[in-house]
Amino acid sequence: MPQLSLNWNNEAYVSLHLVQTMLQIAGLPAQSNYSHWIPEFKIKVPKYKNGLLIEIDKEVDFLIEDYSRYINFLVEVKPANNRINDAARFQLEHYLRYSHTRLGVLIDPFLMEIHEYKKGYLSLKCKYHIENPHDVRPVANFFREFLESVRMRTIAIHTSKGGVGKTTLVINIAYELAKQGYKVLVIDLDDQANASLSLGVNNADDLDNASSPEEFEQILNEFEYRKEVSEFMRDYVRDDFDYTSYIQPSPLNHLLNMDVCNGRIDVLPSSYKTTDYALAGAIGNRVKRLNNAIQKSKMANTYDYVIIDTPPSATDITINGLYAAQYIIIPSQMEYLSTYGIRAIIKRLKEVYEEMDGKRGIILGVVPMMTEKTKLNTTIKKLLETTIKNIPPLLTEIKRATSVGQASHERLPVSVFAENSGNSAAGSIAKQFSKLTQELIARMNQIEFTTGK
Amino acid sequence: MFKSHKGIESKPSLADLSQLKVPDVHSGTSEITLKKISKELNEWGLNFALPIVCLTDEEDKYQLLTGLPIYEAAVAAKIDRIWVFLIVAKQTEAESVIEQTILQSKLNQRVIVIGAKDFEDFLKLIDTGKKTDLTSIPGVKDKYAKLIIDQRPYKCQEDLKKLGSKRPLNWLKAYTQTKTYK
Repeated sequence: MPQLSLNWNNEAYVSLHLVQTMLQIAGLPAQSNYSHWIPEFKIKVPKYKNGLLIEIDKEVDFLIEDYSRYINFLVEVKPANNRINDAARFQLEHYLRYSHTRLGVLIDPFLMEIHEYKKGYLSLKCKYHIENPHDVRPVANFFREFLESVRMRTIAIHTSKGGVGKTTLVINIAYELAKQGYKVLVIDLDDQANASLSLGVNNADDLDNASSPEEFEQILNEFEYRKEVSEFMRDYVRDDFDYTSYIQPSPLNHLLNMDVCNGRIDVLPSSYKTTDYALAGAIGNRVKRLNNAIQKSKMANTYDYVIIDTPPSATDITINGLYAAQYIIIPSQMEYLSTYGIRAIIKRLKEVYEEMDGKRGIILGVVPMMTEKTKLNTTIKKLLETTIKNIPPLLTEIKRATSVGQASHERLPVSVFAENSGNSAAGSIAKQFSKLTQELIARMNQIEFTTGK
Repeated sequence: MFKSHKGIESKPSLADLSQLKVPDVHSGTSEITLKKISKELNEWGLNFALPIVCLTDEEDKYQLLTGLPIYEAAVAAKIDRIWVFLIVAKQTEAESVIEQTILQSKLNQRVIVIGAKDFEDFLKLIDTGKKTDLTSIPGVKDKYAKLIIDQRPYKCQEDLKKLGSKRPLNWLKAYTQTKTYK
């Protein structure tokens, strides 16, 4: 360990020369319209005194609010002669729990630890050994990268049964998010490429206008050398890997830009090539390639949401989608056979959830699709509740309507179709998608900030 | 022993060249040989002998333990990926398997069937062939050719023992091989 001057034994010195400088270099000034430091932030911590539960005020060195990334975190500074130890970690856990904060930073002149408090547990997200506390830039860079890495949310739409409206859900949730100003990447893992087509990137126009089966075939053959999701999962290990060359903007962005919003939808497309054969033989873990590729790509610097459309099967490609997704949405029709599929999915996801220490495979809920006002729907909901233990919450339902099919035919999100056509049935479906999206965001916020009670 | 770990299995695998950690040395293999292998790699798009690799501290990076020339030829051929045999262990543990893999590759030789006619031809060559005929047998150099001529005649299998117990058998194999695959 390098010899440091005695100044570093002074907590205020560490705070000023290391921590505050780091925050500034990392792009989080003390006062700006997108960041905010609150020094000596007070947290009410419950404590038993004379048999009574009272609240006492504790102080943490900083609460930092990062609006641009929607992240809040606590910072606790330690001097060189009283370094980070288990007592400090225990104290941070307390602070995070009672301030309802997700992230906490412990820092001394030699080490920075970033902890996450989730569902009642503190876990170490990452740590950084500080070589020289006078040289703050590397620490700041590391910290900035960390912030970028936590801001993006990944959501997989997964079902065991085809034809339940999975792609419709992907397109419409993506569009609703983009409308709110979020940057969304849709990753299509389905070799039928329905999401890619619907978002207008797979030569959709040409395919629509093909005059013969031969011409159709010829257009499909053009995908052979195109860089798409299977190549993305293959090439990420390369030193010169640049994910943007695999991604295509959706023509829907023109509609979004008219609304003067910052949101956009890009697509990492699939095609007939997107099968397990594309992964065959590849060295290393077969089912975490998408997860690793997303991390390596650093696309979190660009996107707020990644929506993954998985095929309705249990292939390696599908499992890759599940290992890459923090959250899972299960669309299901409220009919007898679909409920059986849900059981299998929940079991599969439990394995992912456990293996990834709860960082992947969190089920946001089941979206009842194409529901009708029949008694059967209600009966099935009851069946679900009695047959599945810990049934995921049933989210906003999407009712059956011909306008959904019409919108799909025009390759438009339902809300755009409703606006263009003035169709009132489409309008009410659009509202359901909008409500569902709000509900999903609220659930994710709740899960991320939950205190585990 | 090291069959699998964290969803990774010991088995033949396709590795991107950039995933392979290679010591900063040259194998010393001649340019001509490397060029020859490169050409074949380009033509086939795959390698037939598998370098052994093992795990490193970095995820998605693997240490090359054998077959440096194959790697060099692949780099020269500008191909992206080669087949390797992954041993799911760190280098120190993997080294214990290396000896076995090298032994196995030594034994991974062409299957040769020696027929009665091959033996007759060989015996005749040894018995009556000129010095230049003898040295055309792989493994027979001038000294051995002289020894063969000095010890003549050879009329039966028993006579070949004058040349040693194993040596004539190796020559017979080498002779049959060159004859068969000329």
